[in-house]
Amino acid sequence: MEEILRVENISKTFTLSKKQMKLEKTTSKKKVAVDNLSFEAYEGEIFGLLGPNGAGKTTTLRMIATLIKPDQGEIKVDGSSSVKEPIAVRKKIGFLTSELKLEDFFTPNYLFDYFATLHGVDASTMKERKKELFDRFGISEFAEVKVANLSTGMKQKVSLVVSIAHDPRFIIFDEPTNGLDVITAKVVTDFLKDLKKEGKSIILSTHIFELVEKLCDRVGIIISGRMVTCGSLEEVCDGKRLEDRFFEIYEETEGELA
Amino acid sequence: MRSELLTIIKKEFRRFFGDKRLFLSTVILPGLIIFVMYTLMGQLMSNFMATDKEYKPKVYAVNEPESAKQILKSLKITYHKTDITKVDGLKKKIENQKADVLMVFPDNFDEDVLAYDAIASGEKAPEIAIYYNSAAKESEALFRSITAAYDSYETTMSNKFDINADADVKFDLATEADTTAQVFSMLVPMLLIMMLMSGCMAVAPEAIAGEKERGTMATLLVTPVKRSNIALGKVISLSVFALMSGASSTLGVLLSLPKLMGGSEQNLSAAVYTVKDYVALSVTVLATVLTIISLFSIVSTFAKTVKEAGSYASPIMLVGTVVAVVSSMSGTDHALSLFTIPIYNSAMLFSGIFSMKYTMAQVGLTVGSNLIFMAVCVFIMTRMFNSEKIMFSR
Repeated sequence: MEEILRVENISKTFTLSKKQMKLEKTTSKKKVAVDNLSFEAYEGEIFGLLGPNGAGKTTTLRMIATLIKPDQGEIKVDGSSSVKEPIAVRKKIGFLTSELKLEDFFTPNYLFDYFATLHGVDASTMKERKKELFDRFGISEFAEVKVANLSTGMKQKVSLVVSIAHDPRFIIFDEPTNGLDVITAKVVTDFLKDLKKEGKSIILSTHIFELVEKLCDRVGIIISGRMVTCGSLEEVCDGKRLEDRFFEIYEETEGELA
Repeated sequence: MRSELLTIIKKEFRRFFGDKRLFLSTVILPGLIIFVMYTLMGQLMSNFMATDKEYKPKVYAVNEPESAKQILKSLKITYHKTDITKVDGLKKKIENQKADVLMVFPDNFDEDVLAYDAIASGEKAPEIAIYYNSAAKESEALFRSITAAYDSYETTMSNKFDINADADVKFDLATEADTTAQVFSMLVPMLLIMMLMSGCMAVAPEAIAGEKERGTMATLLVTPVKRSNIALGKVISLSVFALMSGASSTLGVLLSLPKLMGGSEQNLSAAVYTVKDYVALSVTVLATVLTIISLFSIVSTFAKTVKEAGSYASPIMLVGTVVAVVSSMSGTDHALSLFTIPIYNSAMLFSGIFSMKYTMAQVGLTVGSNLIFMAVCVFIMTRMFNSEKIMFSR
């Protein structure tokens, strides 16, 4: 399979404010968020980045998405460097974070056009793609309804569709089901399955084992900014349930859980 | 009960005193700003009211009696003797602010005053006519000191004469344009700056800090659009909204001020301004909006939430108001270099435009420096959009 993402020895250290030092219960002004991390993702697969909160998953995805720069190391998305060629990378990726809350005032129709235009999609392609995505995900009949009046599930669908308005080859999802109820979470997982069927390459971060087991072809476990294991689901699980294997690895790395 | 109460109080105290920003904005800043504002306003008011000590007043008197010579001498006012044939010419000079005061006494004023008996004669008391121009600071001050001196003199002789008693004669020779200019130049710059700031404050936080708060900023930043275009796009669109708000406010002020100030009695009308004045005003409003919106956009980019942006913008609004007050009270004779200071230049120019004492060089410099200021702000915003710490810190 063709390699779509190569992450090579990336590190990222943040300077903490006094408030953050207090929250982190540390006396050190520096926090290593990502420590010499390397992995690859291949075309047509879903790669899961699994780890506890604060492990460095979001930082890693933000570095891949060109939102922040690594202190060292190299990231290549479909052959383009996220540090040296950020604009080229942005053209190739879709990015969705669980923090995204679309503006209530606008309609799905308008938001799709807005983001597609910013991604440089021409009018006729935009129209075709919008029809296809809206029909497939049941958004068409709500296309002119303001986001404020949509259900949580529909809002999430619109967010997902908007993030891939420009038909990217590679899509980054940061905690896509975080904070969602079971019904909406199902909408999201079905959506990701559909994208995979379409041949899209996906990387997602999560701390939910079931999501990885259901969706991912390969998985990387990240703890305290370090990639402790990476491979196919079978290789990582080593014949055990993912959850059991994760805690085994966690205790090997961080010591016994209290 | 007491312990629970204390626990609640302690928690609120901890929240309040533990948040330096909240403490600063609610306890320190209001006092500091009021102190600075009132000190500056007091200083400027006294400067504004005080006449120039070096100023040589141009006072004219017709038929001045001995008493007038003594009174004017006691006031240290030197005057020019003139005659009744020159009264009309001197009134024109006062209207044009080329002369300050003209005093016209009837023949034999002192003798008539001494002989006057209001009850027995039933006639009008001898009258002094004092012409002046209330729109000229020195003329107004001289009129007040002369009438005050005559009032004191009159009390020593139980109301034996009148000053400016004839209701049909216009003694205040200020024109409609003079009065409008004076009133508008004192009030409108401050109102205008405040309203333009309110307009900008209403739109900027939501459009930038709101995007950060909702997470849509990250979605925007992963599009291939250049950060500088995002910054410029925000500033331009926000300027249009703020400008619309500013235009509505300006129109409201211009139309309502004559009514507010008493209309016809006050001689006020926005019609005294020419098309050139309105063009200069519109251009200055536009340049001011661009400056203010750029400033508020930076504040909103820095803030993590709309609420935080609002708390940062409030002190800026207060400072802007102080600047507007300061400049509207500092007269119209400013060094050209001062017109390079954003906001201060706008307030000075508004004052100049409304008092009809401005130059196109001042307009050009104000617009030019404000555009440069906006360009610098857009550059800073672009850098801020690229800053991981500003865009993604918690």
